[in-house]
Amino acid sequence: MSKSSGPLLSVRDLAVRFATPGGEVFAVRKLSYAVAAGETIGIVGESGSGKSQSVLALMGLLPENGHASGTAHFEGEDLISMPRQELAALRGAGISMVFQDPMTALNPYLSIGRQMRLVLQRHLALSAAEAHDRCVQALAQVRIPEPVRRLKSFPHELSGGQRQRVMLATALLCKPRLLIADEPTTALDVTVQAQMLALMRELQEETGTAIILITHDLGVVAGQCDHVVVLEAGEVRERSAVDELFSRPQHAYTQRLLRAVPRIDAAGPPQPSAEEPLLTVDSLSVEYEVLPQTLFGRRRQLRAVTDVSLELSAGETLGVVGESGCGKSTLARAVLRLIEVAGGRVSFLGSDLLALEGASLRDARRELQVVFQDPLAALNPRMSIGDIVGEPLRNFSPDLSASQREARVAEMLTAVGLSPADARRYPHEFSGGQCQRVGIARALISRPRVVVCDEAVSALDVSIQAQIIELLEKLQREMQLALVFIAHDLAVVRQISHRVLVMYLGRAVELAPGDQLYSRPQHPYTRALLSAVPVPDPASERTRQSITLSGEVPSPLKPPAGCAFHTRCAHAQPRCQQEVPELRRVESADVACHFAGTIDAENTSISVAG
Amino acid sequence: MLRFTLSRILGAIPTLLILISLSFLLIRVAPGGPFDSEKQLPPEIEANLRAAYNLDEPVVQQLGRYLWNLAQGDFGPSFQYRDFTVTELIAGSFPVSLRLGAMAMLLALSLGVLAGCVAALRQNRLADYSVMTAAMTGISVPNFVMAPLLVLVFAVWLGWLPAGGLGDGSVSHLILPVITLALPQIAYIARLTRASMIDVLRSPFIRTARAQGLTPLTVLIRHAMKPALLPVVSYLGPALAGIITGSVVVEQIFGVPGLGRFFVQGALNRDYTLVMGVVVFYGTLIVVLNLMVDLLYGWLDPRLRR
Repeated sequence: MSKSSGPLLSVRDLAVRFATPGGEVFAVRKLSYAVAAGETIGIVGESGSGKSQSVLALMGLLPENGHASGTAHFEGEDLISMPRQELAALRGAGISMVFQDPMTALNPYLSIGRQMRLVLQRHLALSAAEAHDRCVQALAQVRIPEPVRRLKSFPHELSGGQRQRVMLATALLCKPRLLIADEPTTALDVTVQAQMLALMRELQEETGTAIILITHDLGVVAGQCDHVVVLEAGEVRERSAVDELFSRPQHAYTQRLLRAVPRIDAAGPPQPSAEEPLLTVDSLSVEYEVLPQTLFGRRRQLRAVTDVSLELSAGETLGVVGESGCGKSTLARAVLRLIEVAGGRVSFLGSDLLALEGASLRDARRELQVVFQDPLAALNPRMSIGDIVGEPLRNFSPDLSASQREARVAEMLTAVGLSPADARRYPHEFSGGQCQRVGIARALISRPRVVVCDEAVSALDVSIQAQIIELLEKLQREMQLALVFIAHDLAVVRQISHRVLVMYLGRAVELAPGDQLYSRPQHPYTRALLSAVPVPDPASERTRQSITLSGEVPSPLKPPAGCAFHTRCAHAQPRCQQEVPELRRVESADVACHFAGTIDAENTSISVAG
Repeated sequence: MLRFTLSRILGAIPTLLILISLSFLLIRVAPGGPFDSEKQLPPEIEANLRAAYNLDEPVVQQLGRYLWNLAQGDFGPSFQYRDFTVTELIAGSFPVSLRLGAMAMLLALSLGVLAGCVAALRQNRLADYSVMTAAMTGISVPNFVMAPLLVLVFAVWLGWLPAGGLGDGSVSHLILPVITLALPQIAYIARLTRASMIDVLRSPFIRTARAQGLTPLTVLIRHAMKPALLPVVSYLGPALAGIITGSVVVEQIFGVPGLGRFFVQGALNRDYTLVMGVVVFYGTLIVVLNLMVDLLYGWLDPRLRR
């Protein structure tokens, strides 16, 4: 179809601007790049860099107040000046798109088959039977099991990874020459992300489709892209081949970005001197009651956390990692007594936390604080920063006078890198990173000994992430804080944690010092998890031996018998299906695997996906 | 789904019981009785009449008797229309009301949804403002004002349509009553549709549909309509109640011999059994239709199916 031997898409001086009440705002300026057939170009940037707007402009999908200028020649024709109807005919056929969150990007009210057939009806004149075959074929192509049956399913009946596969299948229905993927794996767990990225590479080899990959994740870029455009605040900072970018970054921003990216192959923090544990958790279990599906159905128990034990000392950081639904947040909330516990013991400085009630429980909370994930949502929008940070003082130290309280708030705001004058401002006036500093100030003002950070940096850009982690480490040294650091990002956890707990389906599968866990992981799940993390280094990405786990995490309502991981484990033996493995010591790690220590690390790679 | 339906039907019984008991007591609390008229009846005749209709019993016993008969499908005799049972009166007049109500509901749904969609697609432009202004007027003007106005314009001044009655039963007689009944519902439904459609059109899956190159009409009808109609569907219950109460007034004004008119006459004449019959009948109708709305909800939103 190509009319010339030149690039498939050639973007020149693309600018996107928005008309706002405060005047015109440029989202993108002077963006130029070219994509050839079969090639993948990455557009990288932090939030607000204009990376998504730059491709929405190509597709004619800008919001009403948006305006694009410049040229973008696709197969010889300019997308920017093309009449709307012609562009619409090209969308979904010649160029198609995959979006970030497959739950909201698929229509929850229509069956998958219906959504796919609508695309075919629009672009190709196929009979009903041909359309059906085409849909089945497309689902099979993205390795969806039982594609015929799946066509009748609705998006909510699929897992996150499967939904994104359906997204991809729909985008590829009309065999587009260009696929635009806007953060296609950001909402997925790391093992599912690895499956998805591998699938995209395979399909590209089969079909020769050119890909524009938009992402904030430099690790994904290193493994997927041939060329990279780095955007900051709508401006191109750097445009180069992928090896070039990582080995010899030219622009100061790129260099900063690469330094800020936490790396799974970096060294962890030095181990603190061993001390008596502050907090001891002993075979803690948490259950949720699931409402019955039918009128007279029985209420069922969902075991979110099963028999987890751990210890935490002053000045120490315990990282907790695992994929969504593994129970890491539930564990933290149970330790803080924010939810009820089904069994086990939690003791803080020798006293039983689970036995505390009323005033004594409130007193204990002064020592146990928490920082939440979404920095803005966790702050009351109607309260000033001073009131938010000062509130724990009103609660725990009611004898302080107003001026004493103000002084403490000012001191705390300074400690987290904000100004005392910020006390009079409100949350919406701050950026995400600043709001998280407020969240940390609120958690620390009562001078707690244990702070739980529940995905505290997950919503932040990498450069901000690095600042917040630095801040946490500084405050930890100054106040001898014990931190529980929960995150799904293994590289971030590596950066801050002295010891790491890996969870799978509510159970602890491995608990080990950071250095041991990341260099010599013992549990097959830990190995798979670590091997799935993309590294921001093209050379090591190419040679990386990835253990691709098949399938996805089973439902915690129906956990597999025996070892919960046996359904996805390459080393599973009959014994694993019957006997729940206990934690036992292998090297310096506690591992819950019957065969830990006997599995050869070389022999771990399997290639079955889906 | 069957279990859900059954549980909802069982759950409706207490609602209906409370409705019946309250109405039963309220109408008896109202001053006057079914046998009061300008000409005073001799006391012994009135006493005989009261005994014949069991009105001399304690109220609770009367209620019990009424419920017992009701359970067997017997609404009792009318006090005013001496030769008719309440069942016969309802069976005779309900078809008229049903025709009126169904037409009003259809009109309200089709015009309301259409106007709401147009307003949503032309958000903050002239068409949007016109629809919303008209809707506000529709909501603000009560039916007993709207009805005479319509009659004045279309029957008296223009002479296009009859002013009242059923005449030969032709549709032209129903046009004005139907419009009067439907107007406030059109207005509500238009506002609801507009708000939810604007919301839906902003959702990511609509962006996906547009990115797939689908035409605006396909996006609107195939992708956006189902979710945008959910609030409208949940309003169908209250809309039905609105149309039923509205019909009481509208039938009276236009002289349509429907169930609503019997209800008003019955209340004025203290025709206890007739009033109770209409209350029970309409109450049940509203409960049943609300149940159907819930089932419809499950069809519209696959996440609610079990």
